[in-house]
Amino acid sequence: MMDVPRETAPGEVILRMEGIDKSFPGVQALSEVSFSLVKGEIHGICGENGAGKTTLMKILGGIHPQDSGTVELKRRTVRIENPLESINRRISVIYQEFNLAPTLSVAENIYLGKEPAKGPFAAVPDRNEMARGASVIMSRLGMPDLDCGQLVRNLSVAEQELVEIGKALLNNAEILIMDEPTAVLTPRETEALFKVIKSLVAEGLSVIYISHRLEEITSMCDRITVLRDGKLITVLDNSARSVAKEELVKHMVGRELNNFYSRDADYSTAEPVLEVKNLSRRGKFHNVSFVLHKGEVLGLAGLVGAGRTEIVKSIFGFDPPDEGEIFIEGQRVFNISVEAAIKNGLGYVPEDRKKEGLVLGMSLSDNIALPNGNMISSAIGWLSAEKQKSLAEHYFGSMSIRPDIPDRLARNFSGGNQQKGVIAKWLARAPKILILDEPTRGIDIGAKQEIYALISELTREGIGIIFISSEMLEVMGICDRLLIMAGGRITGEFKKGEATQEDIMLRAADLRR
Amino acid sequence: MTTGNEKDLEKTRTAGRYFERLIQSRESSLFLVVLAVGLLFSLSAQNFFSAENILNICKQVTLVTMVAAGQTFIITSGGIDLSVGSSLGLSSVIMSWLIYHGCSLFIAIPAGILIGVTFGFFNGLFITRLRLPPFIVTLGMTSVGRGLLLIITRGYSITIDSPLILALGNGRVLGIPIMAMFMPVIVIIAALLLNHTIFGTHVKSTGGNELATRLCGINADRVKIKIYTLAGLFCGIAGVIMTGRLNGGNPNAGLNFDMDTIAAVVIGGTSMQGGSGTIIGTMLGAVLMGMIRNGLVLLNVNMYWTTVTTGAIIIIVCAIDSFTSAKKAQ
Repeated sequence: MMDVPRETAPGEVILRMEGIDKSFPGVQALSEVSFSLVKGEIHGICGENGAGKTTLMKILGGIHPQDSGTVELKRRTVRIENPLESINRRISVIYQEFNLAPTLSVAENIYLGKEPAKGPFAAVPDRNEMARGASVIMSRLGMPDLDCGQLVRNLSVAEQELVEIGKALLNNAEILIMDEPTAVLTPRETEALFKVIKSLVAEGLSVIYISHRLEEITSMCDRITVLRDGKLITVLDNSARSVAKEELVKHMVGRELNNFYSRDADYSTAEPVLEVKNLSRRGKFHNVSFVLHKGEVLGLAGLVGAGRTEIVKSIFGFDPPDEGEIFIEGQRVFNISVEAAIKNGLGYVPEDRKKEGLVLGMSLSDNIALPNGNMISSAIGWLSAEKQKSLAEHYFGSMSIRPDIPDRLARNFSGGNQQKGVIAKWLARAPKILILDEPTRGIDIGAKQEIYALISELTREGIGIIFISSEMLEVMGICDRLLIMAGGRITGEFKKGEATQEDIMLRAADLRR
Repeated sequence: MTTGNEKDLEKTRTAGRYFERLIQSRESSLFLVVLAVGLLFSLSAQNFFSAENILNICKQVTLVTMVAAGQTFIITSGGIDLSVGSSLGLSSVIMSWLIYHGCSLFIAIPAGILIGVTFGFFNGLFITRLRLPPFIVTLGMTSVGRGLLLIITRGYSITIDSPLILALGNGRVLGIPIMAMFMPVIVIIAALLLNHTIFGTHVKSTGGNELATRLCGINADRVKIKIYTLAGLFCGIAGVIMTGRLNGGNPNAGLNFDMDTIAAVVIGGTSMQGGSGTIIGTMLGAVLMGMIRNGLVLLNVNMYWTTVTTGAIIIIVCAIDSFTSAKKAQ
């Protein structure tokens, strides 16, 4: 190599990837993908699940080196073989699952592996130096008041995200890669994070920003790279913030999508299927009453921690309420256990698909069979492989779960197909009420649409649906009626089309008084 | 988009994979290891490859296999039982004490089995109702059981001379030790229970993801109580046979069973994280350990070296396994 300038000026290309190929057994994850990052820009990457966003990032993070193609950092060809090399080349990747030690303090996490030492043999970490340095870094991130001595596990998700960024700053990162950083943040936390990102970019940092939330991509990013099926589709210039969401969607799925968040018709009736009266659970929610009608989609909107998940888990018998009454089709029921709730006609698709929805180490077929033991066995509990197979095949067919291999382990399906599996296990029980808790979180656009279509189909059959989502446009588009919760209480109710985003936010933050 | 053609292709591949999986399964590779070790000893130790010695090995591993079958259910469900040895010992000693004091076999044998069942039931009850980790509960129970046993025996063996009981441990039918016959019976029952019943599915799903299992309306606590009770049942039956083998109740009965059964399960390929388990693997694990012990004795290797070897086997087999599965994951 000849002498090349070590520093890159703003506006120059800092990272260039050319003709990147990467395959895993049975999958061509990336083929001939090119990508460039300009110093001081925020570069969004979007694409459906399986488009190759994460693989591209993992090549830069040194998790999986590419099969072929070149990576040029500051005009120097490099091959990043492992995560340490990536850090040393001043690239920091913040994965969706944080790499933090929950039982260590903020300062210890930021300095992990780089502890300033003192004393004989430099064996004692210099805690004062660490505390000072950590607090300088956290102030840069807009958290001057954060106690850097407290344990990371006591921080909110948003604060943990900032600690991850703090680690990157300590490593003098020049390129920061963020994978779905806002997936579990509240709108307010998201806004605060954006402010931090913008201030870091102003200081010269370059950011690669991966997100499913298209409005974030279009409002934050200077350029947008769209991937589909492991191939580069287009790079859009968004310096004037002129790219529309619809345009992105079109590139991502390869077809036009009108009225993305919508259902074909409103099937709600006046006949109540579920009534909840004065339901309370200490410290979680208080005096909640509502009615769900047959064929209706009732949305629960609100911020994380508003008590939405808690109340549906109570109705579902997982954490029975302290007080209050539940009626199903006019009959008082006592959902003292999940078993009882299921018998009474409830199904629950939980918030966290991987932790609560599926046994990832079992096949998807086994998972669908799990709450339906009586349907696939004889009276004495003897399994019938045939019955299980036909049950699984039925739902693989009717819900077009892909790939069409019921015996494949649940963990090897994409997010959208996993979610269909979770829904399938309840459909087999022909529920009267289906609770969907964040059913579209982290799944691709195509699968989202399929789930919306499924919701229409179910309501047409008269099933009442409780729909929880933190994506405001989604709840506004999908739900026939909307309840807004804050602090464990219902703070507002709207019919479809009655409320604006501002109306909902105001009530979700409970600021109207 | 998957076209019909690709779908067919995938399905053919799956069928092909089934055979591949059988070949690559832990059980078949372990079986090959058992054969290889057997061959090695047959060539080096004179009396190893004889009908008599092979039956002898079967007899020696029967009890461990039986108890390890119960342990497999527990480990598959994400738990562990450190008290199986005490449970077995206690049922053997109480049964011997009853027979020694003139109690009829019709009462003594069921009583012995019932002791194991009760022991397991309380393990399950404490784990689920007191919300304590299985490690802690069974660690405590192992001491409780061994202590009770020592109180009953005052540290001495109880010798009995009931021909029926002694035949269980030492008798033969058509030249085959009665005791060894229990092994296939228990293994088949346990394997069917784990792989072909709803209960077995619930055991695996509880170990794989307890929260998701509960949210499917499955009472995971009840599943766990059943698992520990089942393991207790196997301990009780093993205790009865042990009594026959030792001509009575010995205060040291079952002393090494906790570690030996866990070793058999782990060598067999059941994941310590829970979620998947194999009874056949467990049996092969027990057979492998039994064979090595037997072979080393025939080679006049110091008894204590066999203990060292067993430990080394656990580490080697599991290291190979983790190495190959890490490679597969790539």
